[in-house]
Amino acid sequence: MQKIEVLNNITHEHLRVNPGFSTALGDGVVSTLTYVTEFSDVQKEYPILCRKNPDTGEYQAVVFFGLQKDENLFLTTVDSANQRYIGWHADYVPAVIARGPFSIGIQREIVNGSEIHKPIVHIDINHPKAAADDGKVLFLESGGHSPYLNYISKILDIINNGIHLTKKMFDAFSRHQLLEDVVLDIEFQNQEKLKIAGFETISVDKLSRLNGEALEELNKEGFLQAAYLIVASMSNIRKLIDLKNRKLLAGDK
Amino acid sequence: MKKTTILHGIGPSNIPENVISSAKPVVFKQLVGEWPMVKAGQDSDRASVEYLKSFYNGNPTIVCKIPAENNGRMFYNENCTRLDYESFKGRIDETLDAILDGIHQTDSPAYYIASNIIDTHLPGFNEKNNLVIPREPHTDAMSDRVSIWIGGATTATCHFDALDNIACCVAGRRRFTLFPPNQISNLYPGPLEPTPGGQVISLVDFKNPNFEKFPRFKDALLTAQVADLEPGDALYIPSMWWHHVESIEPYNVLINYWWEDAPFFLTSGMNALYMAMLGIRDKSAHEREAWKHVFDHYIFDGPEKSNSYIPSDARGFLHTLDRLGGRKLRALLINKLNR
Repeated sequence: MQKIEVLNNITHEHLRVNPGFSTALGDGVVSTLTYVTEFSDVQKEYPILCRKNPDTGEYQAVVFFGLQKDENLFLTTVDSANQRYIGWHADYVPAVIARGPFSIGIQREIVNGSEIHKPIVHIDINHPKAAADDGKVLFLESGGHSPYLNYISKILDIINNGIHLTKKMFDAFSRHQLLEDVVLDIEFQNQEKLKIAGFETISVDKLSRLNGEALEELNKEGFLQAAYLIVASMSNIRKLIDLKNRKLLAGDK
Repeated sequence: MKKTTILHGIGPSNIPENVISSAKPVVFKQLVGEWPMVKAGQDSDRASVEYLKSFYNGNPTIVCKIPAENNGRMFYNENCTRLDYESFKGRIDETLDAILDGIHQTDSPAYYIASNIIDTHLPGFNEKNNLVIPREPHTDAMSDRVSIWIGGATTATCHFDALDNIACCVAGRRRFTLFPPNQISNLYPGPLEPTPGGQVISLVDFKNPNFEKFPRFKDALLTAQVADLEPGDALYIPSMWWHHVESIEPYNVLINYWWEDAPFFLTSGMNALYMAMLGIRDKSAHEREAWKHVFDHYIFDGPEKSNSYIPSDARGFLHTLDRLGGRKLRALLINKLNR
């Protein structure tokens, strides 16, 4: 059961949060949502696919860490010194995963008679990463923000700003009809086959046939780059297959 | 100029509590005259240097190198945008040698190591050369900070520190010129940054004052007092008092004890000043005038003035701050300022 609290330097003075990643800590997931605010980092490591949320009908960008349910090929129990994250072998962990037990909540305040919405940091203190004995402290000695909390604030900004911008991005992609269905047919070294359907990606063909006006409009909004980042990210499917083949060869299913 | 009051016959372990709580400068004649460091210096500068070196653990420190033409004064370039000397990472033993080597040379630069914490660089020195500050044990207060100052014939321009200070001359001679805190405007404090040692300094050249440019410095001089220290002598400088420090001999060493009784969770008064620049200084004259009254009420007249008539449970930040109150107020400021 989640127990969400507004983060503050009195109640959570001594709280330590585990900054690492593992299946036991809840990171054994095959995919998560990603936002245009982090595409340039995400596309270096993982494939980004698009799909319509069956509940809302709105497009979402999804980043993949594996090829089947609950498979995360980036989790590792071997931590080398030059690895940036504990338990996760990549140079960037997407914000939705990296935020751990933290989330942004909206606080409503009345200022000069009008209601304003202020984003503030919340924490789920029942999250497996919260209340770790040897984790990172959130507050400095006299109650200021620790470097780790500043890092978390940046991560939460990526999500908070990303939700709105990503919606705008998909509006633009739809307007220019840039998305098309994609079906992945994968065959592993042990002859096992896998078919992934139900996702869409940017059509390079349609992108290259856009006229000058459309290109300018997309470029001004910053979404032309986003479209190419999605295209570039697709090469990471090969990386997932290679990681998976290596695991199969090692006899570790 | 008036001489600072001199007290005789006081040793390092019986400094009277009422003297350092008086907030008035006092010279303790030969307070630390029996320290081995002072005794070593009575033989020769070389013996003093060797005694210091015997404690040095080799950790690097910041050394100031002052060009010969500055006559040891650490100040600014023409338009006060840069300091007029350089600082580099060096070693204490090499600096001590450089100071001794330079004694018989003309045109050699002056070297200066300022306020270097002793425990981090000269472990064991304090146990042999010790001083007891008569303080009430205060759970939330910081412990004494003991530092060493080493240099040639240099001048630390007039400034104030927000900490109480006992400065012990252990080699060479030092002349302190002291001004009470209310002389700030008559001393013409310079830029907030850069500064030679983290504290704002007076722009007046004490050796050759320009009274046309700094006329009120004459008023400051009327309030000044002078303390001349020889090896073994010590000076109590109350916090916030302005002091101009001339090291007179070619080789000078000072050990100083800094302390503060305020709890550690309070922030520096300078942060409050910066906050007031942001919040008050550039508002209209009548608003500033009003804020003076507000600050008198809430701050300068002490906590009782603004809280004594409010039920205890309703006082909030009007209470004298405890550790938790300090944390809450800090969080409030971080949130309010972040926009």
